[in-house]
Amino acid sequence: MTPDATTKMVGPVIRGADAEMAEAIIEAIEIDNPDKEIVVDDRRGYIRVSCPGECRITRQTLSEVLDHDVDISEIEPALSAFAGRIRMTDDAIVWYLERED
Amino acid sequence: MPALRRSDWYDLARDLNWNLSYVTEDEAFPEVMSNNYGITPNEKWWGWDEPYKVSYREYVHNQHGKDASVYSVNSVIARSRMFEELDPGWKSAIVAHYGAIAVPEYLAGLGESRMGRFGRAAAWRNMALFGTLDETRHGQIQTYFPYTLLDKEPRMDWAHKALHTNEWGAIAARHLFDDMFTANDAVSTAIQLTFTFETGFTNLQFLGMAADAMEVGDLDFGALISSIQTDESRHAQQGEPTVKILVENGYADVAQRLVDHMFWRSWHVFALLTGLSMDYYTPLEHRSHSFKEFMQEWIVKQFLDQFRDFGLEPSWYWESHFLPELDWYHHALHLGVWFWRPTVWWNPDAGVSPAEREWLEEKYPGWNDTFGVYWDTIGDNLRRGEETKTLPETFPMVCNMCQIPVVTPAGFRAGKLESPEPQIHIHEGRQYVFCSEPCKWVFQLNPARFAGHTSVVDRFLGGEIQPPTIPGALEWMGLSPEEMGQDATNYAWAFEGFEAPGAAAS
Repeated sequence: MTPDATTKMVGPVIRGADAEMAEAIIEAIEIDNPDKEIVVDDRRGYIRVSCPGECRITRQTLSEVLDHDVDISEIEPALSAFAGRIRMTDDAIVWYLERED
Repeated sequence: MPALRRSDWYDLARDLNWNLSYVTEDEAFPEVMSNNYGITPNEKWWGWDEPYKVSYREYVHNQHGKDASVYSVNSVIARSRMFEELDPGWKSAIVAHYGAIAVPEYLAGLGESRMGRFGRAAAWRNMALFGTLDETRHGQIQTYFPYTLLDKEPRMDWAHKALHTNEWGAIAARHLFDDMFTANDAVSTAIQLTFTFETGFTNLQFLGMAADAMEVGDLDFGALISSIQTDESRHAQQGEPTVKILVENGYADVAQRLVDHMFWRSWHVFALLTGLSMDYYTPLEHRSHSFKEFMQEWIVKQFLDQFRDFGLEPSWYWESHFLPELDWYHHALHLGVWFWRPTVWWNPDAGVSPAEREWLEEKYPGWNDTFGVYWDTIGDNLRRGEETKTLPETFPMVCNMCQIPVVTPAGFRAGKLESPEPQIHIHEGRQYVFCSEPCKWVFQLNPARFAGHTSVVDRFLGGEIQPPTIPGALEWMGLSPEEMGQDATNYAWAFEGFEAPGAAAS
């Protein structure tokens, strides 16, 4: 198996038609997951952003990147899908998987 | 910004459960509407907690923005020549999409609203209300967009018409969707529609095809379907907490069976719809990935990781039937759909010009030896001017579960099946034909649910279709001569690399 097939990658799949939000989400995820290798796979119609195991985005970072306040729920119009499971609070979204085998 | 944070009031607002005193639990939640699979009393369901949260205020704000964005694209493009300039094969893919999807979206709203009433926790009913509104949006927007194209492609009216006809693909879609949500109880719907179908398979058609749409330049379709999927990814999260409650109460086997049942059925319909669109109808230069590669990305990797995270496992048929079918099943369906092209509402694109065959061989090694040889014969007949040999005189057998024609001989010839014969099963004196062991297995899970249905061929042989001829059957399917599918490129593919007909005499 290739390394890709054994590593469980999680994270958002962003709607390609929403360019500004897509770029902001990618930048925020890079800031919010400093120790992780972020993989960005741009298929034009959608952009898959992945981290191994867990991927986080915070409202504060996204607001800073966009240069205006946003609610975390405002990601939804750009969030076409995601890999892994999702956990959502007022301040962050986390995509994750628990099972290791 | 609101004065209170959402978490300060969210649970109080959406988690309004109470004990019943005027009616019994069974009266309020009849099994036929909401199968609790033995998990009683109902308080055991009250821990249901959706992982993807939204308030009504946020919902309305977001949905307004989504519609404003997508309808703007449609409005801008309406007076352009974008549609006319699209590849004919791509046009077929979207004509097929709208017919197969638009009305089922409306039907999915019935399933969501059933969960909105019979979901066994208030939080769940709240999420299902949003799901109902979502599916209403999807039904409306996917009938409106094709409506705006009617003057350019009259068969866009199949967006509304298809599911009201007896066209065989429409029967297959109805049979699947009735099983999944129109005639399903709330608990099973959460696992089968939202978890299996929407978390897994809809990504293929709505995001895989969005990727191809952006390559093709169909901004209208790409913007539409990727926006729809943002609703799906939210309301699909009704599946996870429902699976968790079943697993926590010792009913992992029930969750596994519900997933296995609907995974197989979804796979067959998506092979028919998405498989043909991606590997044959999308213009070669704009194909971002093969259907198999999209399946590996979205299903074999992403969806498998998700359902294994709950302690579920790949189905008994995963290695033995599902993975092998990725290499051959949709190729066989494509041959059949093209050959029986008058029976569909779109123009099948053969997609087998020399360059396209090279691509198919690269993506599916051995394709030329297994499927290419059929197309060699079809091409020879067309080049000899014998079109009638490429058109049907009778009907194929149809599977009594997926309602899709049986293509086992092609699977056998491709070396993927041990026998070319279909699966035969006798139930209460009636013989049923299945295309595969998993389709037979789904039938055997609940024979009473499926036994009474008759396939197109059962009805044909039973005398319901009169006159019992191909034209009689086409009329019964609701297809006028103008609506019947034809080769999308008028056989141009068969003459690429060969002298044009009549050229030798000039």
